[in-house]
Amino acid sequence: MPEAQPPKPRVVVADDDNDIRRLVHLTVANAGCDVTSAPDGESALAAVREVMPDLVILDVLMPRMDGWEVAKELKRDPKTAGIPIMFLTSKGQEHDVLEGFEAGGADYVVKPFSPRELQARVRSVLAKR
Amino acid sequence: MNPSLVSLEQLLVGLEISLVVLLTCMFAMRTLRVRRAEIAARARAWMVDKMLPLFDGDAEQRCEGRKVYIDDVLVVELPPPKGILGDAVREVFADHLIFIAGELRERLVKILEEAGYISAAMRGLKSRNVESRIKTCMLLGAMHSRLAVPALIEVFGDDPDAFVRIGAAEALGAIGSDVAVAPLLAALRNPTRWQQVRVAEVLSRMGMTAVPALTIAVEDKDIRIAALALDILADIGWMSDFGPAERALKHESPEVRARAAEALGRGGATDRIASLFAASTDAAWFVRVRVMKALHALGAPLDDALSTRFFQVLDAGLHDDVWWVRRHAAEALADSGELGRTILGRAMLEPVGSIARRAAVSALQRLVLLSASRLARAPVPNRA
Repeated sequence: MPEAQPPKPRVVVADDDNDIRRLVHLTVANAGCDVTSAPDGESALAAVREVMPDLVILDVLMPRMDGWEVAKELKRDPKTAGIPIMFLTSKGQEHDVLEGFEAGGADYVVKPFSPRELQARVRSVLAKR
Repeated sequence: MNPSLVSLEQLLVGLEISLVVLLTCMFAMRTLRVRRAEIAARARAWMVDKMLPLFDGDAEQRCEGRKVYIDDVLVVELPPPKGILGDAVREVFADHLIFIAGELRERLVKILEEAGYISAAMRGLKSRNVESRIKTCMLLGAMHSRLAVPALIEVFGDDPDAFVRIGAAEALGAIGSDVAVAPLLAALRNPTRWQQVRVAEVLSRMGMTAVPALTIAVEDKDIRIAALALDILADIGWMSDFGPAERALKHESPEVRARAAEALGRGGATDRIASLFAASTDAAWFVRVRVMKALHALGAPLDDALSTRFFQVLDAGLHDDVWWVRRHAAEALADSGELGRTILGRAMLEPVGSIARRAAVSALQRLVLLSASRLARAPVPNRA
């Protein structure tokens, strides 16, 4: 009898830029994950509550609800508080990075990013779960 | 028949015909523009679809002219660089190259080079039209190809238009080639202030690539160049060799000394902190201000003797005659842990008119406000 494949880790990716969202989706899928994409903060929250992923990758500058607010909402809810969050953003000043970690982020990747580096970081964060 | 009436009638008919022809042409041009935009949008969407396999980090990619192969399978044949389709390719690549770094970026740039897009774009540098030359510089910067560097350096040095030269500088900064650093540095000697500032911004954005040459420029005989080089190093926040900046703390010009202190602080020169202690009694108040800021940035050393001296220097700064020096010394103490706050607390016990007391009170007030703000933003634990 063939051995059952372990389920793939689930990841939610949120970015309002179509090109970036598509690239991140592909990169994380190539890392062996099941990916759900969202074009803004509110959709990202809804997707996380539905999918209950192993990792959330958030852009910071998004319309309607930015990445910081999404992260804080997720941390407030005991059902989603334990899901690691990775910020992927062009905001790379020191105080932005610190704010990302204060909002509960597990990692912070600044654009321009190397897809290989992103894959390595995703694997690293998932391995800690 | 009255000849003038005949000619008036002819004139009116002529005007009517001209108006109709003009409106028809305008409508045709608008239709053409809309159509062209639709074709460009479709070309872009097609190109994005075709490019997706190129983002697979592990696949073997190969280029033969405009043909791109992945694992020996032809994935896409790029259209020629000219025309709507060529524009779409350039746009898609430029849009993606903005947020991609590392090996994937190198591969995408190589595809553009092999397919002839870079050399085709470079022809625009010879256009007679200034705006075209500026746009070409921006495009070459967005495409990040080192093939364009020699041509851009030439334009930066020789173009008669200042905006084209600045465009070339910005493109060189975006590409980040170390070959471009020397001509950019030389341009800091430009007497036109706004061009000097723009070139300094480009060097600052180049970051670590520009650091070695900037470090040498710190010891330039021209005070303006030395000061600018230190400013840029402070912006970059990193130095390969702290020696020149440390020596600049003793420069004859207080402007250079002040900038040297700032560069050492922002560059993280913790092993040169003793030189900063010595500079804390500089005759020029703005040098002392920058020294306090530098010590704040570096933080208290781990070595006991240096740590003691660190707090002595800040305590002395808290009692300086100049308000700005006191203020920065107080801020440094507020962020230097228990011992720093103890020194501030002691200063608060000084007589009411004491200048150190006022500085200490401000710093502690700011600390309390910051802590309250952080507490307010922290997630509220769920007590359910």
